[in-house]
Amino acid sequence: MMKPHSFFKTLKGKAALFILALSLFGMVTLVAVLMKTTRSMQMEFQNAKVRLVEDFVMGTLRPIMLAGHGDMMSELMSNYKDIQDIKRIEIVRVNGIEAFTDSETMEKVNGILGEKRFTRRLKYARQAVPADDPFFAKVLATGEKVITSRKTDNENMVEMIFPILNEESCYGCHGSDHRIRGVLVSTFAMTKEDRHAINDMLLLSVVAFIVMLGTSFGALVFFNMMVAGRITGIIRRVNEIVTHDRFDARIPLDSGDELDELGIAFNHFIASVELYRHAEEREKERLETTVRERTRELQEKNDFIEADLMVARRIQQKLLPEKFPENANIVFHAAYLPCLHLGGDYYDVFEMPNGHVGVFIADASGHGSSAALIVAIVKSLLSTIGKEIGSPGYVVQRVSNILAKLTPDDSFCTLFYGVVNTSTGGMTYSLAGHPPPIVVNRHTGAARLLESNGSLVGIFDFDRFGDSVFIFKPGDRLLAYTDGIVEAANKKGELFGGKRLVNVLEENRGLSAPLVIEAVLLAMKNHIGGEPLTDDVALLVMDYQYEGKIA
Amino acid sequence: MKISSRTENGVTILELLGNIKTPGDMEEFSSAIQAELERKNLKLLLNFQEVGFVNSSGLGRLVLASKKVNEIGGIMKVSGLAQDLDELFTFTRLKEKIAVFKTEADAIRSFQ
Repeated sequence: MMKPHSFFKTLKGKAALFILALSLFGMVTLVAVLMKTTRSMQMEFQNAKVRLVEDFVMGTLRPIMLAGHGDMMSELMSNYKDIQDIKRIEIVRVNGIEAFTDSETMEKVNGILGEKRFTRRLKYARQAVPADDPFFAKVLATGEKVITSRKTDNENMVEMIFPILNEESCYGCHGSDHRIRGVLVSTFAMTKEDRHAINDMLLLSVVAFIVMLGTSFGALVFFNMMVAGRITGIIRRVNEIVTHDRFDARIPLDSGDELDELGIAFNHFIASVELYRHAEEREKERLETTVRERTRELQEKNDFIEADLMVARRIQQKLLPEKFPENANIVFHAAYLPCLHLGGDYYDVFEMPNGHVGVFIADASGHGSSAALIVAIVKSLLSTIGKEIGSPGYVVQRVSNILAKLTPDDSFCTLFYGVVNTSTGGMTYSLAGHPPPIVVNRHTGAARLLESNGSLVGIFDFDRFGDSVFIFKPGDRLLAYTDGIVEAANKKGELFGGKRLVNVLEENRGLSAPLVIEAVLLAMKNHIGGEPLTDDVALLVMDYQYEGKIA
Repeated sequence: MKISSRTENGVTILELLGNIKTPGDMEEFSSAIQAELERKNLKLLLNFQEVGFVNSSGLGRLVLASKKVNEIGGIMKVSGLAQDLDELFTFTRLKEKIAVFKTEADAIRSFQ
């Protein structure tokens, strides 16, 4: 799942930013238009006022002025000022002022007019407009009116400087040597009504802006509700489906707009996943069925092999001697524990001419069926060749040569083969690669090992195997065994070993052959604990002339 | 088991680590010998210093390896046998077939 973004990275945020930017742009545009409109309205108001003042001065005031009715002019101007909300109005005489600066000129004018109208020299002295004012100078120079704006008393005041041309009718008083005889200066501001009109417009603009802002906010809410919110809803639903593994669920479609298209696309995707899941489950079931069938087949084959091995085991057990040759001088007993169904160990005792017995114990390399086959070959070879030829070494050599040809290159067996004269206790033997048998005297407890005189059987071509001789004394007990007993290991990997085996034999030398075998197996089992045997174990005991007394 | 190989004075020393008892151990051992023979390394010394147990199948593989090395004119020797293994080599008379040395150094010297 994606990490939650900051607000401005979401669609809502972006839309809000866009609307905010749009509102700012609208506001700036509105303010600019407003300023321009206000300005042009102001100009319109000014121009209208200028025309009114001009008309008043030139139409109403001028004849009175020409008639020399100074007081009336003054009163009219004062009334007009109040009516038109004019702050100041003054007429500056440019030329001919000097005529009024002295009593002589005044009298002269009064004389021309026929009555005394001017009683004082100059009522309207130049005050507001200095002589060096550039606009004033411009009006004098060009004879054109100038309208300027000045800011006074925190209000935009408009100043109109208007030339009063010197005409023929004025020459009498003013002379004819100049073009302009006076200047009208009028200063006024906007009327209250004009200001109200502008304020109304401003108010209207603010209302328009608020309406625009409200509309934008509404658009944002609408967008959030109709687009961003629903997209979030679809995503949440998809997440729920994926998280809770509910691919049978769908995204509800109820608006009929483009977002439903998005929902349809997601539903297609979810349906594909559902199909895939179904296919996967079917495949899993198919595989499980296949595995079950294969397991059953394997089990059947295994059962078959198992049954076959049980038959083979019974056959192998039949091959082992059930009874041993026995006479007053010699007693045999044996035990065999295969670690699998079939063992690779073997032993046999057979009677030979002239009171001799052949005794052997063999251990084929490996264990299981291959080892069982090798020892079966060895048994048949020994029991046939052994009876024909006297020398055990030579017999083993023959067996070895034949075995080398019949078995794989790394297979072999180890052998102890002895021919015992039961009357004299003399034994000729071949000990080929096999753990040396132990001879313990049951009277004295003395233990000896037979000496090896040959290597592994059936692996070296044309190897030679010698004969050795051992003379059994009364009370001697021979234990021939395979390496399975000495290599039986406990959990720590400690082997049972030859020394323990010798000790058990010495300690239990008073027991009969079957019991001493039981004692050896018990000691081995005590040593290994619950660990399984990893090799076959075969034990063959031969007791020679024992009277049942311990020396 | 694990087998590492190195060469000293022209002798290829295979250090064996672990037991030789499972079919996997057998394959590993045989492959290692085969690889050395393919590389024409004909003076082989198997160091058994770190080997605990060799079962009869392992012994068969060992003998087979020795025979193969001898067949192509090479020589395979063994060093560092633990007591149990030394006894095994004694009563199986393998010491008459495969030269066994107490230490690796002794074995290397014997090749010179």
